[in-house]
Amino acid sequence: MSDRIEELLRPIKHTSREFYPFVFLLGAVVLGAIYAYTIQLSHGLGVTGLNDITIWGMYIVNFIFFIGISHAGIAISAAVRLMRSHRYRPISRIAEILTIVSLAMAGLSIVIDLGRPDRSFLLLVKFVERFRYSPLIWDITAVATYLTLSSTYLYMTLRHDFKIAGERVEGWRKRFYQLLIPAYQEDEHSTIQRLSFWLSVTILPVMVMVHTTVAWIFALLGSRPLWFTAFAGPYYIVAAIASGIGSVVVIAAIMRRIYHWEDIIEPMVFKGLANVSMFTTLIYIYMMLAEQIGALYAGPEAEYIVSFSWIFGDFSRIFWGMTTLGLIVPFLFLLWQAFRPGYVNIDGSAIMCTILVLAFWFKRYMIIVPTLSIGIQQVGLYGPTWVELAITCGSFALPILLYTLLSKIIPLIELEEE
Amino acid sequence: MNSIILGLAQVLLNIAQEGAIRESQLPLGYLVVGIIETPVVILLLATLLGKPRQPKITGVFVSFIAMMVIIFIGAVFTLSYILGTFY
Repeated sequence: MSDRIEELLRPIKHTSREFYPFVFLLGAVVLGAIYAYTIQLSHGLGVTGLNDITIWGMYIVNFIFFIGISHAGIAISAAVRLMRSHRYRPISRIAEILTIVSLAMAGLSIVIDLGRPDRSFLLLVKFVERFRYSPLIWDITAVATYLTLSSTYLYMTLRHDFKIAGERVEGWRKRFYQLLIPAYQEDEHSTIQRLSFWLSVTILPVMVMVHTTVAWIFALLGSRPLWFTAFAGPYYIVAAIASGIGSVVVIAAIMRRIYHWEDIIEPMVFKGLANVSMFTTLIYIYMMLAEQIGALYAGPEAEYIVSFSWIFGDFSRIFWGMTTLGLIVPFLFLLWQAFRPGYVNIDGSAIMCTILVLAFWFKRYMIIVPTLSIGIQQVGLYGPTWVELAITCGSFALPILLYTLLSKIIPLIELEEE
Repeated sequence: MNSIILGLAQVLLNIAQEGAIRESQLPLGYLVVGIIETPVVILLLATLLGKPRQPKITGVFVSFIAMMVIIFIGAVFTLSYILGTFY
């Protein structure tokens, strides 16, 4: 058992030669994004491709994307705690950390999108006045609640692991871990288990509401073609589960390979997660089909125009690339894998899930940009500038960097002694 | 120039008319924030009042939640202040 704990603490106790260039590379991308953002701050949103008609672009795409990714953590933890799916326990913390970093990045994406981010504090100051009518305020409320509860959940389940880690390291790290567990008691395990159980129950409805309110930011705007739909909430939640679980498959496969955790993370874990991702992708394709058929054949004129632009017009290359290569090909691969008993291709699943996750980013782009740019007057065509591209690259590099650095502090797999 | 401004004004008017919000007794915000926060409050109470219970651990739990709320509010104000130096 001791060997197992040493194995699980390897990311904390040992640092490979590849770690530093990797962190340096990510840091350089983040610095590049900060530089681009200072230009945006100095010159205003005019340096982006946004305009009076297309008021939202890549930053809001990033926001929805990261909110979606964040759903994986608690979905998997809930499966482990509430449904007692202990097979998935080794990847539950990998998913929980993903939730925290992606939620933080989602919040930052909103700030990046603001023309006057120095006025962000007004969201809090004017909260009582505005929350009755503003979906943005509801969303911030939901995201803040979700982030607070998820962080608390992660911390409470980490206390025991910090104690064990503190006993097995020396010097400043030992003191650091001791600082992280104030009022630690040897017999606190059962209390922590109960708190964690109820906390995971608490977070589940919040998780649903977070993406429902994200959907309502769009779906309550009756004048925007393809946004005003009753199933916006479920539509967004399905995408969130597919992309979130897909992200966990990718990260777990990478961690398993880097740290040689082949005996700890079973191959069938990947098959189970890939099946969830595959099934939710199928539901998503079905919903997208239902949406497009309605808009093309019976929708109001503006919906027809936007839907036509998706399928045959200016956005058809993105749409068909995203749908065929991004959704259908990974779906078919994962379906083929699901129907082969006992067979799992971890690398193949990880590659397909990477494609799937990227496709869902492009799908969010398709939701926002065509509706705004051609949905009303066909005058606001949008193309991202280098500033937006640099900031978006940084928006992806920053959570990866945070995740990498957190993996040097937090045990990525629960340290069970019993 | 005038025709462009008039055209844009007409577009905005159309949008405003199409996107009209019906008045109702209960603003949607109350409903949404209620749906988000009510289960949180009820379940947090269940979390705190259930057994086995250890006052120290409960204290850590409540303190951590309070710390996260303070960090969130503090981060928003700090970020606003720092970014304000660019204007």
